[in-house]
Amino acid sequence: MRPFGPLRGGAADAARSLVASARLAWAIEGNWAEPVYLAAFLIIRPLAFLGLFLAVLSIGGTLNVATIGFVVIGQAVFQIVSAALEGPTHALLDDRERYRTIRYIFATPSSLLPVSIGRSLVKASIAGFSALIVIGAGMLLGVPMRAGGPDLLLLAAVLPLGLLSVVGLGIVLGGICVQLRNDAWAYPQAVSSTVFLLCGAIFPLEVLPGPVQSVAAALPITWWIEGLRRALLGTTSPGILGTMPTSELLLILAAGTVVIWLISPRLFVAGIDRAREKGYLDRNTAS
Amino acid sequence: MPGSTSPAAVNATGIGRVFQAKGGPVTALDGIDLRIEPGELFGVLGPNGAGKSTLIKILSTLLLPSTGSASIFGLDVVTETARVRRIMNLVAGGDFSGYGLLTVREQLAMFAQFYGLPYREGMAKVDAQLASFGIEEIRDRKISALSTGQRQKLNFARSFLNDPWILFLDEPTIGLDVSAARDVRDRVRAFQAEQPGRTVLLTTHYMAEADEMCDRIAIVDHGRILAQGTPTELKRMVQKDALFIVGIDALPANISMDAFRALPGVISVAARDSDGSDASGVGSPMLRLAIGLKEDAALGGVISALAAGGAHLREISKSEPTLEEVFVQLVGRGISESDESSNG
Amino acid sequence: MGDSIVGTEAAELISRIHQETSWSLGRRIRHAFVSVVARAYPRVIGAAREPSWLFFDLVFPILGMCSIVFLLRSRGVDEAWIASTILATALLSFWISVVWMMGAQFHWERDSGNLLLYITAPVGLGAIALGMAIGGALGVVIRAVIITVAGVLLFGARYQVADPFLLALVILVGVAAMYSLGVCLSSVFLISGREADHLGSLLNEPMQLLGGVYAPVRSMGTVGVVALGILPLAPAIDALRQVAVPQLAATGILPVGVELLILLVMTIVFGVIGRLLLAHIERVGRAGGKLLARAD
Repeated sequence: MRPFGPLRGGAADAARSLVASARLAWAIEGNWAEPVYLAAFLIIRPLAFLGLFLAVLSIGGTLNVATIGFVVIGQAVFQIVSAALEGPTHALLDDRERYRTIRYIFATPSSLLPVSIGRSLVKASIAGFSALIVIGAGMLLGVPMRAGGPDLLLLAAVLPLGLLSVVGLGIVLGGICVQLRNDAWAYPQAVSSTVFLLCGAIFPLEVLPGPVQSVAAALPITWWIEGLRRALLGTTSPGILGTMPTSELLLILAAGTVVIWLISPRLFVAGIDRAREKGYLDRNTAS
Repeated sequence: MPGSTSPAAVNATGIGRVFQAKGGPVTALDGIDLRIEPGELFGVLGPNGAGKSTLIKILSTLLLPSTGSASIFGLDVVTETARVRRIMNLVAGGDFSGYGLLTVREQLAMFAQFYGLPYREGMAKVDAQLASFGIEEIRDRKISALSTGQRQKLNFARSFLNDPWILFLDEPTIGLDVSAARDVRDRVRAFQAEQPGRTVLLTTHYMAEADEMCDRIAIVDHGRILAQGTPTELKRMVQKDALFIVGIDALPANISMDAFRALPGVISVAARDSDGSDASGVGSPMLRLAIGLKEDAALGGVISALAAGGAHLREISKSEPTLEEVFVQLVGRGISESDESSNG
Repeated sequence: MGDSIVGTEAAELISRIHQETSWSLGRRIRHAFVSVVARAYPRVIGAAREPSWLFFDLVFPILGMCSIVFLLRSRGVDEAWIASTILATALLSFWISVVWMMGAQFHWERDSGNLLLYITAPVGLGAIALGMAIGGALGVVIRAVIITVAGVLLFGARYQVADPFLLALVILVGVAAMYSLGVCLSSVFLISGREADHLGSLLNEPMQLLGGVYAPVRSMGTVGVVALGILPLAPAIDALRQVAVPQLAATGILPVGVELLILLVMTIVFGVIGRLLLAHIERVGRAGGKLLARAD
């Protein structure tokens, strides 16, 4: 009889597994053959993304710093979003297909849930470095940060809530993708790209078609990005996001995060169980 | 044979290979001299990490040597790589290569083209190999659906497509069950028998496999060849004389051990052990004699002497050292201990 | 056990083998052609047997295209830029194919064990790379067409193509130049370790920026000019924009004819360099022992 379904070994064991998998993730992600590739990936790629969007925006005329700031924060946060969203799936698929260790981890008393969370958190942390690089680039471009510095109180509330919500979504995605044989690797990026389109990262929600705006507003990530804009820039976004009082924004973000975490662990475990039934826990997607 | 001036299938001189690793250079091979005659099935035997795979990779043009030179049928593996690849093929054990979405026949057909076979001839060879390996019924099955044994058979079928003059087998039976391993060995022997001159270089750490299959064997450890020769020659290094175990009821009263030792061709006689009857009194005692002979033919005289003396012969067996014992003698430890030490 | 042969018999055998292994130029060319077709086959068959690739190969570029289009619309730009974005996304499919389905393929083939079989076969890696490119090309063409149609239907883009032949030539030569560069990339990926995946990622967005995919390369000044000379994507998209969206002809950095010439030269130069680089990198890989080392 499991004490709490998703944590079959108990809370202490879950904590131990989480720490162990975080260490493993750090060793894997930090094991770079050439530091220059690490620097290029963590620095050049996010800056190239930012440059791409700013170049596109400049087609419509000279950019003002408010517009740049809007895109900078959105793009910076999305580095973390995509890492946390795609992380658990990539970790599971890597363990299943490249390292062939998932069957051995599954056979331990530990649950795969804290293992996946640990890997995801480390990937998000490393992406956080890229996020800081993008924000730094924004400051160099003249983006004015909030007068008096970041709103630390708001930051302390928004940052963990948003991160938790994204990690929660990521583990649901992981639970779904591990049940797939073909195309499992492609789903996380497809979801991540869709979220990018909807969360107001680089353009206001008003640009989206009406019904789609409602979907976008239902995503905790949308409110997370808005909350971080307010905390760091001291400005609100144009449109409906900007009209929401900060207290209500926090409430929506918290409620969304709670709902996600009420559902995601069970969905994850159900996904793992289903994958086990189908015999996919130790199969490759390709050959 | 070593020292021969006849052209060789494989001629390696002073082959060395050093890998640059983070902790410092690692010497995988250190001055390997090897000569294999056309038509031989040559085995390279040694524990994990001995350098067997490194040697085969150099000879099969996958790796360049750090020092020394090697040629395959007179073609240099470094400077005439393209020509070497036209007459060779390779099977690596534990190999799961292949495109999962292709069928068995399609996979073989693709490689037939890579090996330069005209289309019709290639397809005929594909079908012939499918039949030869008994995998015709799975010809239209996708690679992703094959078992380990079937994949390895497919691997072998691929390797025979271009009728290679030299076939490199790198631990080919690893992971296969007894029956599948036996099939593979039979097929390799049949392949050689079809055309004189076809040469096989086999690496393995299964002593019994090397003993059974190989004309000559090189024992390798820590990148060096410790000894090479036929299995019999290698075993003679440990035990020069033929040793037979003869079981009789009892030594006849009219034959003493000294008289035994005086028989023609007998070098030594020792009483090894004797059976006692079991607790319930079943079974009669038996005396086992370990008789060392200069040659096998001397056994006849020994048996005649025993029979003439009235001894009742219960059993005869030949006691030969195993290659494991040869290895222990050369290296000072068993092959499994060698695996442990090389794994650190 | 085998019967070894020695002496005269061995010498005759070796002489025969030396004759067998001396292939004429004609035979080598025929063999290369056949090998290209043989390697293209798994790509084509694989796509037909697992058509789900089409969904994902469309979803990503269409989502990316939508992001850029909404970004442009948030700025109220001329609809001609929307039309340009759709075409650029379609052409980008080829670049992504070059990076991931051609360039990075040897890296994955190494991990799966197929690379070992290719190297030990008497087929050059160049023929294998070309086979992969051709095999994947049909799928990419389908993808590019569907992206264009989707873009037109979703966003109502309009095109005015005065010279369809010129348009076809720009696309053809542009794609050829990209695939030629792909042969060079495949040699780099050949000896890449764990960094290969990240190398591939670096060749996406940064190249989209430098290649002027969504914003004209003219707007990047000197960097844009340099990109025009080394990155096939840059002259290809610049020329495509001028030919298919004449309202944006003024944004072109060079005349279409000049850009076509640049692409042609790139095709030849990258092709030759790629062929030489593959052979060199293979040798370097064999010397360093990295050719078959699994990336962990």
